[in-house]
Amino acid sequence: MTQRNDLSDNDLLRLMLGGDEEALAQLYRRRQAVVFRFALQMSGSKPIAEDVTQEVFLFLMREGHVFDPARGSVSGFLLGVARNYVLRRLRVEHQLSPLADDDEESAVLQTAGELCQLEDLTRAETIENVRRAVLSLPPKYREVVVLCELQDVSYVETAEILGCAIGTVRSRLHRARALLFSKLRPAENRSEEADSASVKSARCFA
Amino acid sequence: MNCQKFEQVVGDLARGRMMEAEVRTEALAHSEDCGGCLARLRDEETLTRGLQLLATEMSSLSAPPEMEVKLREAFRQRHVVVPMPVRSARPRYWWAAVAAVLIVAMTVAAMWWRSAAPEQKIAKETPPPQVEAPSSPKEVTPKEVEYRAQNDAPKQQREASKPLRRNITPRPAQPETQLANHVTNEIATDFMPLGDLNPASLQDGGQIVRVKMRRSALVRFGFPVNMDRYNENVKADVLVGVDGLAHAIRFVQ
Repeated sequence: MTQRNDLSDNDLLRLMLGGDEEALAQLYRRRQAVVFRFALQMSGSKPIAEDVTQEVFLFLMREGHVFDPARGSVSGFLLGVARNYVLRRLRVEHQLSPLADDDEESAVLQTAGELCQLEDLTRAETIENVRRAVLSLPPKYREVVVLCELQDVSYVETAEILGCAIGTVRSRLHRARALLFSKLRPAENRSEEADSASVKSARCFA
Repeated sequence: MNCQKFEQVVGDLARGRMMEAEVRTEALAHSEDCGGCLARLRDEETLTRGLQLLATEMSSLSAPPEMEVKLREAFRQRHVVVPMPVRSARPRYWWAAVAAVLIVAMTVAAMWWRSAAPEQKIAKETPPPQVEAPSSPKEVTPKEVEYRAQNDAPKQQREASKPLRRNITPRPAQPETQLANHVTNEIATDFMPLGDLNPASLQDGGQIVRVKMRRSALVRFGFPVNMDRYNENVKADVLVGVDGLAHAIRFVQ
C-alpha cells in the first residue's frame, strides 16, 4: 500500500487497467473529492454530484485506455469527463440555468431581491450568496469559475479540460467575474442602474 | 497607468496572481489616485474573498464512503466476467480452436491413409484370382503330393509361429474357382429318394458321394435310355446319411 501511495496517477491508472483493484482504490481516494466538488459546484445538487462521481470512475474502468498522458493529467482527464456528465445530466433534468447569454441581465434582476450588501453579510451568508451566484451563471462561465476560482486549476489545465484556448479561458473568467459582481451588487444599486438604463434607453429613442 | 490598463490587471491583482512587479506597483499607485478604480479593486477583492470562502467551505466535501465499496464491486465483476484484453482474447481463442480442429482432422486423415496404403499394396501384390484359375486345374501326381507334403511341413510350422495377421491374408481362390467351374459345367437332376426317405435321419448331417453306375440303371428311375449306349457309365451323386445308408440320388451329366 505504501508503494502505491508513492505511485503517480498515471501509474495507478495503468495498474488499474491491468486489473489491480487496490490501484483503483488508491486513485479513487486521491481524486474523488476533486471530481465530487466540481460536480457539486456545477450542479448544486448532492445526488447529482454523487451520480456523476460514480459515473466518472466507472467510465475510467471502461474507457481508461483512451487517456493520453501527453494531453494532460489524470486529474484533468477526470474533470473533463465529469464536466461532460454534469452538463448532460443538467440538460436531461432541465436544471440548466434559465439564463441564456442574451438574458443575463434579467437573471440579475431575478436574484436581486435575495442579495444584500457583501459587507453586511455574515460569513455563512456570504458563502451562500456566492454559491447561488455561481450556480446562476451560464454553464460556460460557471465552469471556468469553478475550475479557476474554486478548484484552483491553472489556466492551462482549464483550457485542456474545456478543450479551448487559454485566451478563451481568460476572457470567460473575466466575463464571469463581471456577472458575479452584478449578481452580488446591492439591490438598491442595481435598481438605480436599471432606472438609469431605462432613462438612457428613452433618451436614445427620443 | 490608466483606467483601461488597470481593468486588465485588476483581476489578477485582487486574486494575488503572479504578475510583473512593475505592473503591480503601477496598478496600486493608480488605484490610490483613482477612486473608481480603487472601488473596482475593492469589489474584486471582496468577490475573491467570497469565492475563497466558498472554496474553503466546500473543501472538506467528498463522495460518500459507500461509493468506494460499490466501485470495487463493479471493478471485481468487470474483471471476473470480462478480463482486460477482451477484444483481443476472443478472436485468439477462436483461432486456437480452429487450429486444433484442423490438426485433429489432418492427424486422422494421415492415420487413415497409412492404414489404407498397406491394404492397397497387398491387393496389388496379390494376383487376381481369375488369372490363377486357368492354371490351377493341374493334375498332381502322387510323387508331387508327397514332395509338397514334405516341403509344406516346415512351412506350416513357420506359419503357425507367425502372428494372426497372417490368417487374414487373402487366400487364393483356386478350389472355389474349380468348384464353380465344375458346378457350372454339369447338369444334374433333382435328388430322387431311394426307398422311404426319413428327413429326421438327415438332421445330423450327411454326405454327397459321387459315384458311377451303369446307364441302364436310369431305367429304374423312369429316364429314357439309349440302348446303343447302355453299357456306358453315368455319374450320379448319392446322398448318404450319418447312418451310412443311401437316402437319395441324382444324375449328373
